[in-house]
Amino acid sequence: MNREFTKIGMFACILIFTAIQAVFGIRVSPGVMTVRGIPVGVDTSLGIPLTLYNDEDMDLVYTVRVMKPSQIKKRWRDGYEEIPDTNWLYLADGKKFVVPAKGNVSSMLRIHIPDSESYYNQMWAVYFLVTAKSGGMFNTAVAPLFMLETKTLDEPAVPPAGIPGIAPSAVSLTVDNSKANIDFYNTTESELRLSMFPYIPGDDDEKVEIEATTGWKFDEDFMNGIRTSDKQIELKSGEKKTITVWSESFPDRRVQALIRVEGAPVIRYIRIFWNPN
Amino acid sequence: MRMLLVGLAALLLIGAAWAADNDQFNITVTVNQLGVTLYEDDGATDYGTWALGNMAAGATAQMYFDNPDADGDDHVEAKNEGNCAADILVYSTESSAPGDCGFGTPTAWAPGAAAGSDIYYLECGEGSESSLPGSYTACDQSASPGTEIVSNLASGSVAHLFFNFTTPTSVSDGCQHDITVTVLASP
Repeated sequence: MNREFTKIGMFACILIFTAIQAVFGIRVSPGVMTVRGIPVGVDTSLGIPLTLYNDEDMDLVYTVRVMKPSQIKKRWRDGYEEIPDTNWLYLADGKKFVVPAKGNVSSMLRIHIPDSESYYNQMWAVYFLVTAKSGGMFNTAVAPLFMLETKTLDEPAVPPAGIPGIAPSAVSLTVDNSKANIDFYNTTESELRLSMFPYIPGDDDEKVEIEATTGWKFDEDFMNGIRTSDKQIELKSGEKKTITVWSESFPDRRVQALIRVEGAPVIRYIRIFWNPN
Repeated sequence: MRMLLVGLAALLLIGAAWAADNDQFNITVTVNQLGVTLYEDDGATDYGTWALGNMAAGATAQMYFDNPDADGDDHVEAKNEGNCAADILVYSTESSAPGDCGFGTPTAWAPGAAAGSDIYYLECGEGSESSLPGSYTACDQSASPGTEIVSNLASGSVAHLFFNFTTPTSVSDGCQHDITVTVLASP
């Protein structure tokens, strides 16, 4: 039986640890990034490292863990679902790093998504939780956000992952090919009601914007010219429906916009590109 | 030399064609750096100590202006060292039971919504350089996701954090306990 004390010897850990320097600052790079066109079924380097900075006067041990967004915050950038398995994303050099005083350590980011056609057309969010071993009562941590978009596939053999499943998650419109079909799959057990409208980022209060693909700027005129065959659809469980998207605006430059898909409790985005050539 | 130049030109053209394909692999770094540092209330010195000292069961230690600790610091300043706005979240834990000290059964403490048996109570709040928080929030999470106490702290800005710590109302041991409070910054 545990003996209970009405008076305890709780010596504040800070008092005990004043001789041991604690960690009071932590920095990492990048803080937010978007990666598009990630291949499925192939172990891939993302081509950019995660860099851990130590601004303190002693070497520190940093621990890096990959976390689902819900393990970091209650709310994150809408339009990006949780990555199904955090083990798919990893650092080439492990999870623990000794970072020298006033120095930094980098490790290449890698991802290996299992070979399934359900994992094309995905937009996932994932956080890294970076902590440094502390000797004091207060510790610091940072959680950079990575938004990952897999390669598109027009007609996957199996319904795409996600609620709803969408294929493709990005379409290209040109003068010669000015219409495209987009399939919606209800992967849930209940009915889904979805509404959709053209959209470009900038008019919401999100801390993190959806980034334009390199070389394809968001364009309001193009957005205003986008039309869809349906503005609302209802999908029974397991059902698939197709909508058609086209543009009545024909910019003379490469631009893009989004279609925002809303249906409680989901928000998804589809990238629409315009190429005049 | 001419052949080499032609070869380089061809490579550049291939690169341009790849870049034009909107489904090709590409990376956009929106925020270069994310960071947070804890300072004392002078805004310059790394946070030192919160000298709680010996506390009785169920006792509460508070950070407030007219009761600075031995170092003179009376609250924690969390500075957003990153390039974007970040939320500040807090969680705390005692990662393992203390070593056997000969008094009772060493038992790790956990945070709770109220102090209890081997459960401590941590309150968090955001005040200012000269005022206490208008209200406090129970920071009762032992792991991430923590309790959000500051939303959208702008890049380069400082959040003035105040903590109240209540020891368990009863304990299983008389040993020293080491609580770690983690202050997390995330966009």
